[in-house]
Amino acid sequence: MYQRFGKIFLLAILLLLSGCRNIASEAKEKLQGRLLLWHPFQGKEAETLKLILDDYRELYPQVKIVSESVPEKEIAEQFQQQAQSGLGPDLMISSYFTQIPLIRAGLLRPLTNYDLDLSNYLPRTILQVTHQGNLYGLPFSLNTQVLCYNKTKVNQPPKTLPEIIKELELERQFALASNFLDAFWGVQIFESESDTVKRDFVFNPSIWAAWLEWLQQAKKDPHFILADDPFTLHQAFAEGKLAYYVCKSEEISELKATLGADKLGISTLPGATNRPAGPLLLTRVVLFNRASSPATTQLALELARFLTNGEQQTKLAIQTESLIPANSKVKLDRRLSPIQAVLFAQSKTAVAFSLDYRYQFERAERKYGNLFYNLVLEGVITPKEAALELKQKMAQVRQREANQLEEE
Amino acid sequence: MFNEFNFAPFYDFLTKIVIFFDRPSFQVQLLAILSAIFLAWLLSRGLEYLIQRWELPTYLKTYAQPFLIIIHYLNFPLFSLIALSTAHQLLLSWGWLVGLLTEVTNLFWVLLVYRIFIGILYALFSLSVIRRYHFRLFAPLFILYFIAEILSHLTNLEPLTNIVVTSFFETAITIGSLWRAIVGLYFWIGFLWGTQDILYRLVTRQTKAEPGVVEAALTSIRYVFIGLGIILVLSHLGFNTATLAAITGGLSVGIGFGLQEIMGNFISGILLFFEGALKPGDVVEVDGEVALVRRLDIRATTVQTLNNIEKIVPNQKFLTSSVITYTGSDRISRYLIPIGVSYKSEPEAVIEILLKVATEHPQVLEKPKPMVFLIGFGDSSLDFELSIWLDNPIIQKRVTSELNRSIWHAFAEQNIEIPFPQRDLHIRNLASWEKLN
Repeated sequence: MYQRFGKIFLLAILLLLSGCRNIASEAKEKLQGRLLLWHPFQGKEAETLKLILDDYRELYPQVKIVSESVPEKEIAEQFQQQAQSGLGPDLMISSYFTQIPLIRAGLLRPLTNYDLDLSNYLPRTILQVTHQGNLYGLPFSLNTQVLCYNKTKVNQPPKTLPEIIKELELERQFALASNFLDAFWGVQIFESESDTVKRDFVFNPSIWAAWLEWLQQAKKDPHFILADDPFTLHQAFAEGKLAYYVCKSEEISELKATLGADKLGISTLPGATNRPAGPLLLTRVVLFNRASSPATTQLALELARFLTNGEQQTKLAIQTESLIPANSKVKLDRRLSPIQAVLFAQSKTAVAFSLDYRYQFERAERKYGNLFYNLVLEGVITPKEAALELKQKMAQVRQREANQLEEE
Repeated sequence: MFNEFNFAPFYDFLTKIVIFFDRPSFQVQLLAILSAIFLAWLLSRGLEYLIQRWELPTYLKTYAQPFLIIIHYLNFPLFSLIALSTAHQLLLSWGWLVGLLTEVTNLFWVLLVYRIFIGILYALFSLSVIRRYHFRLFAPLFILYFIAEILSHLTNLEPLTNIVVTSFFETAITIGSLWRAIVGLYFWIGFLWGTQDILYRLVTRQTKAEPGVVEAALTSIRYVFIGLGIILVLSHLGFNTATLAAITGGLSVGIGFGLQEIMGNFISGILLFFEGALKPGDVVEVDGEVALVRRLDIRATTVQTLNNIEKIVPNQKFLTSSVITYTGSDRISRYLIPIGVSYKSEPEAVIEILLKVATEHPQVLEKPKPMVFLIGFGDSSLDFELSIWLDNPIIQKRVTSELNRSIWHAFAEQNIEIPFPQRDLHIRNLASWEKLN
């Protein structure tokens, strides 16, 4: 009797296991098709993406992926040219602000109707893939600025702006690229507490004026270096001539190689006691071609979800040492991955312009931001005058944009 | 060779093409393009049929001919442009993407300009000359442009062109460099051929230079430039001077053994060019047959016999064996026509008639003047020889025939008999007819 039950039980278990196996293999077999992916990565970043795609191929062998690297400066333009013909990639990784012209040309597939779980992504980055209420992409990776320092010259990096002044007094050189966007990280420090780390950042010229005043003061110290050419500063820091350098996350890998891993220190940018610095957050997003068939878009979405899952995003951060995960659930151990942990922490306080706002801001900044920034630093106008002028110009640009949109 | 060949970019390229074909917007555009082109082809064929059936008045035919040629070349691209523009508007109004249609329309504009150019050339110049240029140069150039435009629009060709086909003397040869080298060399040779052709026509029309000499000189220069082109191509492929020297050394040994005959002919060709011993237009005797030298190439010479048969003679033959040339230092040659007359004839009268006939012939040269010789007393005739000079050996047979006919008529008029051998048959024993039966 027991023997009979035993046999039945064993058979049931086997059936269950074979059923589970079928479900698993069906899930694998369900995903099949071909995808063309464009990305702007080179070197280590491209290698890491290849590793991630190899993992995906191993998991879903029925999905053929052709991955192509297109230079960052050309990727959006090439996409536009190709997608208009029904060609181009099914999914593309590019900077978030390349989206607006593509959305306006009707070349990106809106994802609003797809049932997507966005809870894993850093909430502010979702604003960077949303235009007029429609979702057009998924955040993939982030870039921002941090403070790079030479460990042979510095023991403890400054945490606040007054500490920078103290470091200058100790004749430690502090260098930053001198242009409107690269020197934007200090604006947030001067905001009132209620304004800090807002979900949707809005540029306030009067706060910018306060930051400019601080820069003007700091500039009086010969050890505070403001240079137009970021490349020169990068070189000088790599050669060990500078103690501090406000670097971009994408520079870290090269600095580590040239300066030496043991000499390079990374820290979050100095802020105020309760107000962290707010460097600009540059999100790279995954965008989807409208020309792809619905089935291919579904497949592309599956791939995008895989690329942004916690495991792959961790791999991306650790192996590239420059890309910051867009997945907020990623946990990076400060002891095991100190650089990546700092980058990740800085990204959480970084300023994220929404897609719509960035587009207008970009247009205003291109024309007037650098102009007024330089006029202030040269002492031609006061920071307050510059703030007022910039405010007016930005309002004009915004109005023009609104009119253009209405016409369209 | 294929061990190092990386097929992945090809595979990726094909996968991309499959991806594009899978897209509805691509399919719709492709269908629209193919339909538009097919419709345009049908319409152009219909128009051609109507034009062929159209009976033009004779006086108009000459004037209409150039326009008909241009219409023949323009109707297809024009109809295509109209059809493509219509398809473009339709797809746009239905909300489809039209980038591919726009690209193809642009290509058809280029085709239209190209066809206008070709049509004008055909309308203005000789059909046979333009046809050579058309098919050797313009058509391949346009087809390559067309293919390159389509492929570069479909995909970035760089990964494909960077594939290493093989390594030669530590120089990696990629598909792109090989393709550029082959195409570049083809068009360089085509360009040199075209330039030589134009220069030949200009020089022979504008100067009194001997056509054969001009062609030989231009051909020599062309080969020098082809050699330079080959060196440039090799350096484009990445071979340095040391590698080139190594290749040349290797080739020399190979050529010395394996391609001895070919190289012999090649060297002979170069010597013939520079010596100027033979040039196009010369009349030579090859294998006992008089022939006109048509073309002098680096390996062989093409001659045309009087029977209009072309012979390709290896150049070595002209250098290693004696060759009779009728046009060596000048083109004038003497020809002897034997004539026999009856013993009843007055020799002075015969000489006078023969000289008159010879001098009256338009192609017999006045200087050196024709002469007649009484060369002997034959069995049944007085044997004369008419000596004439011609400046074209090719017409010798025809002129001889015409002179013989004129001599016959002149002798008939003057009752001068041309004897012919007669035989009397003597039968010794004739059997009776009855016996034979």
